[in-house]
Amino acid sequence: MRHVFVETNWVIDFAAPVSHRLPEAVALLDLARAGDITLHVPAVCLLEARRKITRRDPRGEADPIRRFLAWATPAGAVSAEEAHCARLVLDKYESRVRLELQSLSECLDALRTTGGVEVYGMTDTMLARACELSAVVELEPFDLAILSAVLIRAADLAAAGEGDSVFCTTDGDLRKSALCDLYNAASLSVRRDFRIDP
Amino acid sequence: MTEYAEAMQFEPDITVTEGDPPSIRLVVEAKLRASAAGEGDAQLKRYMFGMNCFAGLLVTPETIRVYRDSFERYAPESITLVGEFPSPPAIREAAQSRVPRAFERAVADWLQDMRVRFWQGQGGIPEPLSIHVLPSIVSGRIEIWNGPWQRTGTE
Repeated sequence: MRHVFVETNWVIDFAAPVSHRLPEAVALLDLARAGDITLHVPAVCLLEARRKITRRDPRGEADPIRRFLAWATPAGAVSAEEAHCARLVLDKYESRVRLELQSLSECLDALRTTGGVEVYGMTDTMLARACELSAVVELEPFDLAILSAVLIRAADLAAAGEGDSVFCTTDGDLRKSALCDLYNAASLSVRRDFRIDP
Repeated sequence: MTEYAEAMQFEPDITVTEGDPPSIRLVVEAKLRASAAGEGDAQLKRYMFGMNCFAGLLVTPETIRVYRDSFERYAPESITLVGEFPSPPAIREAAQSRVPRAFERAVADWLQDMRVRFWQGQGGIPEPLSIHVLPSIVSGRIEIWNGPWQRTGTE
């Protein structure tokens, strides 16, 4: 069985509103549901992802276009009919994004019971390792927690004879060359995207 | 090999990322063999669609092809070729070494040079690049992909 570890960015890319969702992130979850891989998600990533996703404001993306329409229509650059259609689409976009954000908690909670997905909490060993790592690698506290959670769990799998593990991370800080030896010691290969051949 | 497995074998040579969480603003495939340009098309498009990357380049010693998501469809087929022009001299010269890593380095340097020229207010950037590529690289992080780290420590 292939074991795949992910971090906060995968959760964001999978759970984000459809306009920002990554098809490859969804495809990875589909592999887990199909039983082709086991997807390991540190529980702390759900917390961080929830915070970052809910910070998105669809008005921030739609309002500049509305402002453009307000200028462009009297200026003749956009017809009244075009502006009307554009405003309707923008309203639909905002409504859709808000709807998806409202169901975000449900979406993230569902991960805990999804077949092929293992959401796991921080253990004392992981916390201790994070403290050790803070002295030797330069990472933000959240990244340190995620790194130690991934390393400890991957090493446990390797010790149990389940050594085919890969860490999919789009976070450049978690792919620094200074971490290479740590990943090797945990029998982990690292990918910078979510594309896995099971 | 299945089509899916073939697609999963594809690795972009260079990416430009930006933001938190990071999004891939540009994907670059650098091919030393000109005949490989046509082969890499479908996989590059699939990668761009899958990773929500709306701009891509396929660079060979002879030509640079610029790809852009037209947003016509929610599928890789939405990625279209929007421009093609001769490769600059620095890239053609790097190809003569026949060393893939050196060629990738030359392409990354060319992207960096384009960025510097932009910030210095210099012109002369061909239109497909100035419209579709330059916005992606002006403040992003240019990264040459060295492949997944293996347990043996080799790349």
